[in-house]
Amino acid sequence: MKTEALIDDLARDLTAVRPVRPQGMLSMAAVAFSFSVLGAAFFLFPLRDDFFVRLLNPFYLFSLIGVVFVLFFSAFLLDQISVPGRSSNSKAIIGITVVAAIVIIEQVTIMFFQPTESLTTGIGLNGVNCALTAMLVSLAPFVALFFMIRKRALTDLKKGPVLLGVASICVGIMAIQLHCAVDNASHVVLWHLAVPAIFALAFAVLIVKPLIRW
Amino acid sequence: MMSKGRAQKGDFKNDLSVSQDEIELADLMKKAQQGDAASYKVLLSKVNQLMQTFVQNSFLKLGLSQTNHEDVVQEVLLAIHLKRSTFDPTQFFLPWLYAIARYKIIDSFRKLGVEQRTAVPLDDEINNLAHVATFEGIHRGDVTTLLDILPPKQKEIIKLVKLDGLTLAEVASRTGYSLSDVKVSVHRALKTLIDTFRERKNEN
Repeated sequence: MKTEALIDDLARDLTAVRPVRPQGMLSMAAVAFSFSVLGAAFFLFPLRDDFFVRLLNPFYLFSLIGVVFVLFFSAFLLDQISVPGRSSNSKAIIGITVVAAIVIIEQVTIMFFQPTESLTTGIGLNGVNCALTAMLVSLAPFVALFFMIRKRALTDLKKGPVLLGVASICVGIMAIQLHCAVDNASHVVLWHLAVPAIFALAFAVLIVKPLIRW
Repeated sequence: MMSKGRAQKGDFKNDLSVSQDEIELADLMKKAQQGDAASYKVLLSKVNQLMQTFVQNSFLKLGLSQTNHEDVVQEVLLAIHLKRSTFDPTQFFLPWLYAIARYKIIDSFRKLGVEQRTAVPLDDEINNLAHVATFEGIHRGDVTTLLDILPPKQKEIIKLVKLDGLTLAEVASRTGYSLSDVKVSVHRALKTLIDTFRERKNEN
């Protein structure tokens, strides 16, 4: 087919479209949607009984805020790289990495200050449910973000799936942090953070990449 | 107020450094997003002109053959059409356009690159064979006999290419083999023939 003929066909096929929303809207929508998912998830996985007491603990509070922070910035970056011509903000990347690292270091530090018995208790397989819950809750934001990105034009196929996985698993991590009453640090690091994050990232990279190509 | 580190089109409304192309194309795209087919056609024609050069230069840099560049230009035009909603009217048009073009060029490089990197420079091989054949003074009948050393598939393909003078594409469509299969077969056949010639020459 000749290019001129293609241009004629495309012009004939034209319909009005709504332009992409301004930068930053996606991240705010992602946070708002995530909180509504969390609200709905509480019907299945209610808040832990001592939630308001636990909130007074600065480590617990910081890990929750940190996760919201990572969610917001990963959605913000996803917003940037899913629209061609918008350059990705290196400050936001550094922000995400620093906050995520602080949350992980904080949890690991607490873990090393615990007696050996409690470490092994936390690593036991009883935490599988927590990891599954986190992954289950993160499915809804994953699907929502995936379709939102698919409608756009993701130009960075390496960062995109990773950010999608990070943003969605943050919701699951938050849900399990609010639901599970086990405060053993090794349990939290392994079953609330590491396992769900690894599975979400692997899933996102393997599944999303071929599906999001345009 | 201009946000830090993020240039928006509105900030440069009166800035002479913004090219006329940028202003014109962005206006056309805005109208196209509202459904104006005439503006859209003008936009695509202008983009087509820009992309012809851009894609050719990119192919040159990547070491790809220019034969497929028109396909990539068409893919860019299609991508613009399908993803036209992703153009943010508050931003510049050209960075958006070139980001799409780069993505499509890289995508085609991934597809074409493997094929072209494994492709054989047939002209060299054919010249080499012609050179050897001239020196030996071989007749058509001798060549036909010589082809018997080749496997049936290679023999059939080399006969069609070298003796009947068909192009590789014609051979592919006539025999039902893929184009890359035909290329590889020709390459292997020529290599075998050259080796055989050399061996015979050394024996003599």
